[in-house]
Amino acid sequence: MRLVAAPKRDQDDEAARKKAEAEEARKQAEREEERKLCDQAQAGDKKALATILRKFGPILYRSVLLPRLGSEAAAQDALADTYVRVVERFEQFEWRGCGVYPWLRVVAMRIALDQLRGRKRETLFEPNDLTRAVERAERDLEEPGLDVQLCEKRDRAEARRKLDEAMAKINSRYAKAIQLRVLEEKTREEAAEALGVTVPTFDVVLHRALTALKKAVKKQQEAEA
Amino acid sequence: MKGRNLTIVALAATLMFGCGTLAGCGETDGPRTDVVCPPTSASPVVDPALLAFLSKAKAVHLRADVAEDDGKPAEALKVLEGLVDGPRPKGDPPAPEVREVLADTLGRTAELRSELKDYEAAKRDLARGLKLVPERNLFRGRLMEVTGVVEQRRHEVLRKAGDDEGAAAAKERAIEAFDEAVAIQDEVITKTLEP
Amino acid sequence: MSDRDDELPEELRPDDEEALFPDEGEMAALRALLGPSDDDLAAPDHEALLAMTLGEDVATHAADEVEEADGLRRALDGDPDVDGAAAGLAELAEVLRVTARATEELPATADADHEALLAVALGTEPEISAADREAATELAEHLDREPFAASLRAARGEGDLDVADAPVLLALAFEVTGGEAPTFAETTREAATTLADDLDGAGEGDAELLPWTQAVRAAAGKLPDLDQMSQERRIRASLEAEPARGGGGDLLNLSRVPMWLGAVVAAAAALVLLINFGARQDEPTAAMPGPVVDQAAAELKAPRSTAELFDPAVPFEAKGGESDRVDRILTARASDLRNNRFAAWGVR
Repeated sequence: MRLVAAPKRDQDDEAARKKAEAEEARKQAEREEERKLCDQAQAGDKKALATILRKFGPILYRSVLLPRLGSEAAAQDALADTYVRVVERFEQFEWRGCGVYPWLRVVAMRIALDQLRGRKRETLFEPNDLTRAVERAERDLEEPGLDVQLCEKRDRAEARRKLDEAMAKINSRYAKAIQLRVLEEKTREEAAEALGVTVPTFDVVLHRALTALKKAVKKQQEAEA
Repeated sequence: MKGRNLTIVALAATLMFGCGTLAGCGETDGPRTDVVCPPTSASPVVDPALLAFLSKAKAVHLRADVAEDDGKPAEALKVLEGLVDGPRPKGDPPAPEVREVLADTLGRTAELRSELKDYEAAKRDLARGLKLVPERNLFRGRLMEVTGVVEQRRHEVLRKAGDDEGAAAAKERAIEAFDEAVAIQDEVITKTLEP
Repeated sequence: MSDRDDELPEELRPDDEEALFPDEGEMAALRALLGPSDDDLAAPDHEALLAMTLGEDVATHAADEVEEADGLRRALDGDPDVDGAAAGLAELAEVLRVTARATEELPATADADHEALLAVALGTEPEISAADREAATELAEHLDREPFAASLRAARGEGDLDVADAPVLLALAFEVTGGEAPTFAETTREAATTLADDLDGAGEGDAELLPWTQAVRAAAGKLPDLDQMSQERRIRASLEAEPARGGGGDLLNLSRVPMWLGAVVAAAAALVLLINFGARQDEPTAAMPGPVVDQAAAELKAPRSTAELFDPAVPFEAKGGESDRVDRILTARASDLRNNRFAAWGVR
């Protein structure tokens, strides 16, 4: 009997399949570990609950709260409130296939919505956006394939899309000024040079650019209301 | 007994309309005759006496800021001494807030005294402050930092005066104090990160 | 085509289908007939006209002409990689489009600007006042130094143009083409400088647009992540707080509690407190005794270390900061005192 080497494409497929299986197994193990933690937390184990908050808190902060509330102080307040609410109501959490993060996310979204309703904030989002986001987040609880990375990606993409839509509505040189100075954090000198203007002129351009962006966002919000 | 019953009923009626009965217990100005306060053996709570002290502390520090901005450290010092040597809410030991604010104030007076080159008086203030906050927290850490500054200034003066031995000793003490400040800070951070 | 048939020599008139596809000789005759006249039509233009009139196979175009035309086509389609003459022509086309659009959109006060732009684009003499003419001359002198299309592109508007934006964008145009720095209103300049300083961290953080700038950064994910220290403090605080064990739904809404019930609760709490109060002390005390009722005692805030009010990662400086610290402590404890009063009244 002569051994024949499998064609290269078959070998690659096999490697990919094995890698996917290993990844799935790892995720499964992680999910089981998470479930155990949740059970312990519901049984009153504060350390387990702290571990859950420690693991997922930063993700809630950077992808759910910070982009939607527009300031570190507001997002940190909201995160603190989220933790309190989670501690108060963790007994209501029911384990589903998607893990605990989607449930935490719903809590955080609701807190953010309360904050936006309670006080006028400088943000690209308004309460209606958050209401829709809460509804979507609640529907996501039924989605078994949803995981933390996907949630995070979606949430950040939504925030970025909101910004990009607004930037597209203003003069392109204004958008460039904002891109350079606010988003890429170039110095005034670098940004001015990139636009081919003096620094004092750039300062004025940036000021007008941000004013124009704010106006565009407000107009969009009024149109959607 | 009848009188006491009447008092109870009258005060209950008062409370139903939301009057601050407890506000009478601990004010620093004159006794109120319509309030009866419980004995001190029970658990302490944040009360108006504490708030009055803290308000005074804030006013004193702001006045000292003005004096320092005007380039009058001696005047700032005098104002601050009024707080550290003045009346404080009763309690043995004093409430933590009182101890920490006094320690912070003593750190400030020590720093001012060292500016005025009165290093021994500065050290006495620091010793008082350290006694008030034996806990290894930010307040104690700051007092060690100020100790280092005081010794560092003393070192400079002695060195210029040609007292090499004295200067070296002062420098040694300064380094020790700064090291201790860093160690306290490390502990504070580590403790916060503990699960 | 029918009109032109009359002009052609008889042998070239398309009296049958074959005339539609002239052979080489006939082509040469056509070219000679339709060659450049005394009207000074440039050869490439002539070829272009031939192509339009008789079909592409009649005209011949220089290779570089073809290349440039292709570049123009791509530039008009939005290809950003086009450069050279084709890019310049595309910009001209864009300018013409914009000025045509601007005719409908610019407010009356901008008519002079509009006239100037059109004049530059079309190479005609604008109908403007003497004052505007002077300004236009200055603009023209600037534009002479650079391709005018680049400058006009800087002034191009997309979307809504605020009246305040026009001078800013024109200033961009001037500076881009090497002109003098423009002057803006003092208030504009001040606001811009305040914002610039705040963004540099050198200001006092009071620029009106600073919160908006932070919101933009937040949406783009450009603000710093949570620091571990604050994270730990929050987790600890939430776990140490008394959890309000209750079902789902909102926290108890006191506004729905009838006033008479609130009064009864307050009276009950007061009675219990009074029963346990003893003789008053002669001197004030910061350690005020608390009530005996367990629940009320649990809710009263006790004096405690103020370390929790400060970021453990940031040590106190040797000099300065005392006023801010004592202010922070005072604010926190004032809130505690209010809490204690409310708790004693039996109100959450």
